[in-house]
Amino acid sequence: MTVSTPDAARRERNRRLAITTGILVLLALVIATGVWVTSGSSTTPDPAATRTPAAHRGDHSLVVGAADAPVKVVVYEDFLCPFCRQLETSTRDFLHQDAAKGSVQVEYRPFQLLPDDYSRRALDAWAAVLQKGTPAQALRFHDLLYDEQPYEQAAHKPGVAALQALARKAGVTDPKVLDALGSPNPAFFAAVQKSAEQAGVRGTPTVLVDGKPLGGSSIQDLADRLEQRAAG
Amino acid sequence: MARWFGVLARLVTGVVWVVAGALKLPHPEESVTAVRSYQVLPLSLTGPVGHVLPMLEVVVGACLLLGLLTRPAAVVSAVLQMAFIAGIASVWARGISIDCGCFGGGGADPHAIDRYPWELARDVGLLLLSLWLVLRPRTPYAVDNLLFPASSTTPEEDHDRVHA
Repeated sequence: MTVSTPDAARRERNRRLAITTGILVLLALVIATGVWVTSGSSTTPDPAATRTPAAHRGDHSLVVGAADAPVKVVVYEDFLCPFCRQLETSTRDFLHQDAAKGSVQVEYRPFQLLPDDYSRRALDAWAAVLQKGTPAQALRFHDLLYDEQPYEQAAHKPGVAALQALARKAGVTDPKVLDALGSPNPAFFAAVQKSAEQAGVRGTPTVLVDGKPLGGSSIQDLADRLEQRAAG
Repeated sequence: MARWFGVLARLVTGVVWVVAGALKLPHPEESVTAVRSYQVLPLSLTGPVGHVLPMLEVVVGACLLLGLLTRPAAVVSAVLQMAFIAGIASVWARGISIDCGCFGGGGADPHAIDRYPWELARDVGLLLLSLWLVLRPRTPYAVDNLLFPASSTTPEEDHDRVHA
């Protein structure tokens, strides 16, 4: 045992504090760097950095990519369905890239599957942007609706004002479009519900590749298979 | 003897953290989905938490393995385990069946409820090992022993060590 004078003890405490603080700062830097590196490729891509594929209005749907693309993908989805969000976040990057390259065409067909007011509200809002805004705005709004998807069991889900704010973020500035966002659109609703029923869609997300349903043991598995098919 | 148990606790908790974090690192979006599936955190926090958690787990695990800042690392480890235990208990109580996302993956899974008891038991075990290290952070084969050598410890700590 060493005999410590009060001075020596204080010096020792200060030394320990300095070492500890230094290491903590270093570890924080390691974590920050790691987060930055791993997030770089898969967070929401900067729209300016990735090529935005050409989109156009389909039959109550949004079509992304050229009509002569060799692989045709159709996605039936519900804006409140967590599985759809999972599929969206794990397929969006490569689908948009492949569509921009011309190797794939994706048709997004949102409809209402879940018996929840928000599901219908989001669908009506998206229909307004699709029909009265531009296809590029509809695509961005569609992506944002998934990025900002509320919890399925949340008691208070986003209302019309929140959806309008999201549409503004998607580039919608026309007050007529923003006004239309909040009104039900029975004709659009009936058309998309009928389309899903006729296609035999029983759950969401349902993915068709060249007209045939694509299966998977999990959403990640489905996304991986879709990536393979989209690559050609 | 107790100090050797500390080494074991460091190795077990450290390996689990490093593996759990490393499996999630390549898929930050999956990690966010896993965090969201608990439907507990405010939505705006799910992104940051999902992105930071894997890296935090790897670093905490590495600290425990190396015996670097063992006590602070063990505190973080214990706090994280308590959060996970609360999370799993909460989804179980609400009847939400999700893949816990403990070692990657995550999201809804209809058969997950059956695994909750075992997952809770595992996390309680890891929590106890972490708490042990919070109380007794001094262990052999630790970087801490080089940074804060025994010869320069305060008298009280020396006294502790004699009886350890």
